[in-house]
Amino acid sequence: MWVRMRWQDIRVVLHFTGIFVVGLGIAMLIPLATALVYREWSAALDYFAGMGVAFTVGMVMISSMIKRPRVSHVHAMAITAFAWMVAACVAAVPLSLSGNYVTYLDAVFDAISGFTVSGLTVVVDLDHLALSHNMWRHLTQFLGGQGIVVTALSMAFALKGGAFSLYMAEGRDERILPNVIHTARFIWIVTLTYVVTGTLAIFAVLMYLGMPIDRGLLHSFWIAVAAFDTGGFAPQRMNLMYYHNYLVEVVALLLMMAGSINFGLHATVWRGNRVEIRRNLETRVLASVSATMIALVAMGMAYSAWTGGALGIFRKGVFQVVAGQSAGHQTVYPSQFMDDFGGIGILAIIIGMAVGGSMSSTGGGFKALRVGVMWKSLVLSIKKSLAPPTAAIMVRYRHLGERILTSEVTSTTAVVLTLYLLTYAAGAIIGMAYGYSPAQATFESVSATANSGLSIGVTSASMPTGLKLVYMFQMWAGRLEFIAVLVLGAQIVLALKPRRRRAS
Amino acid sequence: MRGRVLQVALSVMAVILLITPAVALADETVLSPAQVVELDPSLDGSTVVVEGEAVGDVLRALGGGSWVNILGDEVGLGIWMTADMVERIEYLGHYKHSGDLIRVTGTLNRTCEEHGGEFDVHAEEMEILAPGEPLTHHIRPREGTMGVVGFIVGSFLLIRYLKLRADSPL
Repeated sequence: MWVRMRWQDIRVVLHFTGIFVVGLGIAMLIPLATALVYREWSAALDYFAGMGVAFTVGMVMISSMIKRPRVSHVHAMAITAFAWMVAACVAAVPLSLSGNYVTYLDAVFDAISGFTVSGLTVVVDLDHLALSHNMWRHLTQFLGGQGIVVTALSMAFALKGGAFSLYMAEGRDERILPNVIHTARFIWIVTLTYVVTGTLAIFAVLMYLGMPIDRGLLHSFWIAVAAFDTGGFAPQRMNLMYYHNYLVEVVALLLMMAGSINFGLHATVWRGNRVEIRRNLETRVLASVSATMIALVAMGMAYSAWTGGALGIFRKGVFQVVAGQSAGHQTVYPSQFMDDFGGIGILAIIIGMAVGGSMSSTGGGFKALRVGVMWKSLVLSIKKSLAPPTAAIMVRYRHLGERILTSEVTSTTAVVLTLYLLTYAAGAIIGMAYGYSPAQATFESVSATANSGLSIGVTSASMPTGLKLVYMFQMWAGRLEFIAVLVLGAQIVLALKPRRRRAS
Repeated sequence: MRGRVLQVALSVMAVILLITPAVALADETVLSPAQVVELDPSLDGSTVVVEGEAVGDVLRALGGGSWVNILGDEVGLGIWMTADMVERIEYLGHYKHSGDLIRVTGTLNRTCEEHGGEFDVHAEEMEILAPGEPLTHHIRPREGTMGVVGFIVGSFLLIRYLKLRADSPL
């Protein structure tokens, strides 16, 4: 039986979404302050307008319900999916007013890409973009990487029950600490530790390279945020190629790797249990996938007559594999994937992006743990086939403690995995229908769905509007791991479907 | 027979003309950074002439020299330069200023061994074609109006919400 949302339920969804939108308006104070400090008066007005829109839209939604209600599991799913989309539409207002986006839709594209920590961008003339707008683009990745809902939870907004449902609906499967509010705050502590350390390290390099202090500080903060939150935005068109320095790339690489690791594992290691890193199934799969893909990319580059030496293979090949699984920072031009990586190299990058990072991390893709669980399921099936019919066979795996593989875990994993694969394929087919080659269409489709952000050259302001909409949907659905989006979709379909009248 | 020979010769010439632009550059063909990036890999190591706006920062290059990034057709390209060339660049493009438009003649390195596999151009000559200019960003009343109206309506809704909440039974 399908449970249809009543008007009362819709008001609950609107009320909480409104809270997130007002919160977003408050967050715009940061780019507004940046604009005022750097005397970017026109950009400051863009944020004044954006805050006004956020305040009005948010208050209209909040006013739909006077008393704060309890949140059920279904509410949580719908709130999360709806809030992410509305947040992107509101965050796009100042970007759209900047004049660096051809249409409002393009600004929404970048806002969705930011919140979902994808990193694909359709901004025009990025090298002349105001510092305040760059601050906002990177802040969307900061907020989105943590999770809009997690951010709200950490500030103890959405209380009165339902907090854990909201947390889960955002694509996070594990409660790291017993209290979900504490979990949300822990995620922020881990992030701030890495971002501050990374900012200082990159800042030191940029000072050596001769950048002015203030620009150096802003650039290093933005790169650190984009790398740890596995976002991939950069303040200049050339992305990390702009700096021409391998030390910047090494720090970004380490931050991307840290960002792809489960926050639960971070907590375990912080408590002193370092053995968990080696024994954890997810970490093992992540390391195995990365190592295999790096070997394949290196092979592809060698066969393509690469002349950049071993350091070049590290800076371009190894970096792009890790970036594909996480942030999507680029150290090569899109055309170089085709020219220098060879077919096998492109395939390896696509597989790496498709797998992505860890569960409960800022990384995307269908996640290393799911690959591990499916592998263990295969082992279980083979063991059962070889064992006597009366034997009780079980398979254990290590993931933040010892676990037994159950049929429920297997089936849930298979469903999510299938949804990812179908979306990868659907996006690729649509891309091909728009005239792109199979390699280009598949690369970009997987990159969008897996929230990777690497581009082989398809994504630009001039790409077809239909394809922009497809990638926006893929980034949104992929970040929320489909379930919340499907729940919202089902509720919309049910709402549009006429009710059957009972025969008297 | 003579007509057939002429036909074959013309066909061969046509084929050569079609192929040539893809694998060789005319001596003085001026390219944009976007065109340089899309050049055939076989042109690695050849001399190119590229024009673009100098943007961002001058950055120190490891092993000596400096990096200046130029922009054209929405693509950036790293140019490795000597100190005397860098000194002649007055403006670098950013939000409030366009950068100098420069023309560089240099060696194209698709995977530069000297610079860790970078895709770069090592400048041999550099010419300033036009100096950068201040960019004006007009303050538009539309944004101000949007903000003022947004805050007035939002404040009204907030007051109404708080009042209704205070009045409603627990």
